[in-house]
Amino acid sequence: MSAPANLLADESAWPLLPAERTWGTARLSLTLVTTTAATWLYLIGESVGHYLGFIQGGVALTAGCMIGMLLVLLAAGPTCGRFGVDSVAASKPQFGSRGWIVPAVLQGISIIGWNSLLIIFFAKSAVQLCVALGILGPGPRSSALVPLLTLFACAVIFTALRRGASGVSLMSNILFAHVFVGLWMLYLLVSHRWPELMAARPALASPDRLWNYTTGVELGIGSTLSWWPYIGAMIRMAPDTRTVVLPVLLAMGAPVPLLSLIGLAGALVLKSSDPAEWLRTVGGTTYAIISLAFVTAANFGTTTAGIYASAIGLRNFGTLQRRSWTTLLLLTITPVALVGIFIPELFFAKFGNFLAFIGVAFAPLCGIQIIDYFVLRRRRVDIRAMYSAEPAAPYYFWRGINPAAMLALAAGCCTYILLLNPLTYQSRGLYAYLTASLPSVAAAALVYFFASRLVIRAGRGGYSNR
Amino acid sequence: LPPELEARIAELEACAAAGEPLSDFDSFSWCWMILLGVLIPVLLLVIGWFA
Repeated sequence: MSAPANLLADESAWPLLPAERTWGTARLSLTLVTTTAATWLYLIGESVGHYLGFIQGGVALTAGCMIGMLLVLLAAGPTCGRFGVDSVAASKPQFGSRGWIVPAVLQGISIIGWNSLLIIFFAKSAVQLCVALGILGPGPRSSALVPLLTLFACAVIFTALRRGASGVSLMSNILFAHVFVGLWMLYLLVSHRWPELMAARPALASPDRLWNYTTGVELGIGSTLSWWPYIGAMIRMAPDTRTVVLPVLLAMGAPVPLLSLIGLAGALVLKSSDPAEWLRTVGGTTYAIISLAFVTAANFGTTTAGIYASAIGLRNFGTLQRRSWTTLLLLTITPVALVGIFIPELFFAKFGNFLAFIGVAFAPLCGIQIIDYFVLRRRRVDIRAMYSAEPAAPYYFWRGINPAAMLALAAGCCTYILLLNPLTYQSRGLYAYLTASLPSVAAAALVYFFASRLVIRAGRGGYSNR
Repeated sequence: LPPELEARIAELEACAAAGEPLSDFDSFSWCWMILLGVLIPVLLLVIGWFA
């Protein structure tokens, strides 16, 4: 490949060549850690703190995160790692040469939704930081700066991502220190409030001890399954699948439970997951300023990676393949900026519910990809077929859509919602024994397996080349 | 397919044909995945339950 083509490779959804995949273990790990560590970890920790104490909550969350990360790695890892493609492209053998739009839409809504929330968090934290430093006075006038700071954040992210994947890596290098600040914050809370932490009782705990424990595990699994949209765009930069295993399982999986402990501890002892609030209680204004700086930086790294992954996902649409990278970035970042500028409070209040429902779809998506790749295709994927939308192409199925995948996705989502309402956390059936995500993965995999028997019998889907 | 995409796919197919298979997880990777994704979580769940 020519030099200019190489420069553009990480700005396209096309497969990367071995020479273009230059991220080693350290660089990938650093990027994944920075991507993972953001405000949502406090929210996850706070949710676990509603049902479990510190030790049991931390253990359940850690176990759940490790299981969830394995599922995501098994689903997207093989195809992304082998061919240097993103998560959406990796779903084409299962969903079809047009049906991949479903995972692409899920990815887009999930990433843009979450990043809008994180950018609003960023802007609010930055305002609080300025107030704490005495740059701004307290009151509604300062809050009016939230839209302006949102715009500033989007401009910085846009500028960084003009460099493609190396912009994500650059941001990670700059922001990596915040992870240690997070660990320091955790140490402070644990060391100052250990007796209270041990004595604290979760506020919303059910009388059923098993239910509480399972919910802690479920929150861990569900949180890490939401990394599906991000993972492909990052691991495609590593030279091979072997290189990505430990960074994904440790650098992406470990920070979630570890830094969520901050929110868990805060929720249990001080009834607030906001680290700025409880650090002010523990160590005064200086600690609160450090904490706010941490929160501000943390959300920046995650949003940068999210916008990049989403822009790569959009590249899979034929009409956007030839558009400039700048256009792609603007298409991805503009909705985030508009939400932050015009409807931050409304979005903050309402969109979380919608995101909870969107998150439900990633469990069945993983089940479908795992059973298709390891069992039905026996690890054989046709890279050429992934980019061909012709009716004769192997992944065309029927009108470009694989009905088996759609049916399995619906079955997995229904299974999840039947077992656990993601908004109210009201559960049914065997939830306390099985969680909701794992049966959802299993149901989708089983439905996909049996429905695919019919697809194979019809000679569709490129299975005949096995 | 666009010419550059065609060239990329051809190069990847040539790598595979030349005996450099674009493999997924090797035995080393499976060991880590079983350890970190199955064994340790199960152990943690048992420990956590009795904690």
